[in-house]
Amino acid sequence: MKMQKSLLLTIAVFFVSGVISTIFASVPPPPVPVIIPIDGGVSFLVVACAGYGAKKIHDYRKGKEKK
Amino acid sequence: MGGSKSINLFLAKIFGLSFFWLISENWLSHVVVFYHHFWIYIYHILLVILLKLSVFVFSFTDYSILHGYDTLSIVGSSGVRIGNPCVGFGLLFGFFALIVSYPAPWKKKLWFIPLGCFLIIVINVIRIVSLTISQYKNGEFMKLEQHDFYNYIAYVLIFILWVVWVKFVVPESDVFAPEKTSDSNSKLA
Repeated sequence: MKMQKSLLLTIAVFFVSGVISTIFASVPPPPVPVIIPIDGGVSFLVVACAGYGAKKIHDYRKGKEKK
Repeated sequence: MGGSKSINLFLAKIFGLSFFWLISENWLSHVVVFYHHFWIYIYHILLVILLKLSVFVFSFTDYSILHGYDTLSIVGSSGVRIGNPCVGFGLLFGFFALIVSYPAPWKKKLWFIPLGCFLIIVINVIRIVSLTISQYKNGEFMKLEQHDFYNYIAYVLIFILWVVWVKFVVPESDVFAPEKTSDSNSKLA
């Protein structure tokens, strides 16, 4: 009898704690808007463009010298 | 002005303007109050333009959208946030620096800079709208790969714009035009 009581009590404790933890379980935070940067590769872009521009001026100069 | 001098001057101007950008972005705008307001105001204007244009583009679609000061989302998704690095101020300044530095007549620069800036803003609006839609469709999985993909497309388009400027808008005769002017001036003097 005593054994049954303690078993019931144990089950009740587990059940109640399960219910409580479900009720008070933390709600997941709302999704945060994603940040979408574009300026990250500007330096590479400027370097590439500057290189191309410099090469073009160099080619023009070569062409001018040949003439 | 010789060819190598033209190249040196071109690179020096780009370096100087880039240095000015770095100082303004990372130091002056944090230290000098007036400059801080000025710098933030430029970001604010760009943000407002981008957001309004994106909302305008969405008005032609069936998506219901929500937007705040710097956020844009389709109802049912977390959306995107247009922070300072997202408005493309750096890109616009980089483009401006390149065109200003290149040896070409000012008349051409004066129409190509606004045109290029407009195209960069349009590219950015397309990027923001596409990312907002893909964020709605794919949820959290979009993050890096797609985002980078759209950035690469934007960079390639700006590079093409630069190639158009160098190859087609400014012919060889225009590159050495300042040289002729300075020579003729010196002869006159």
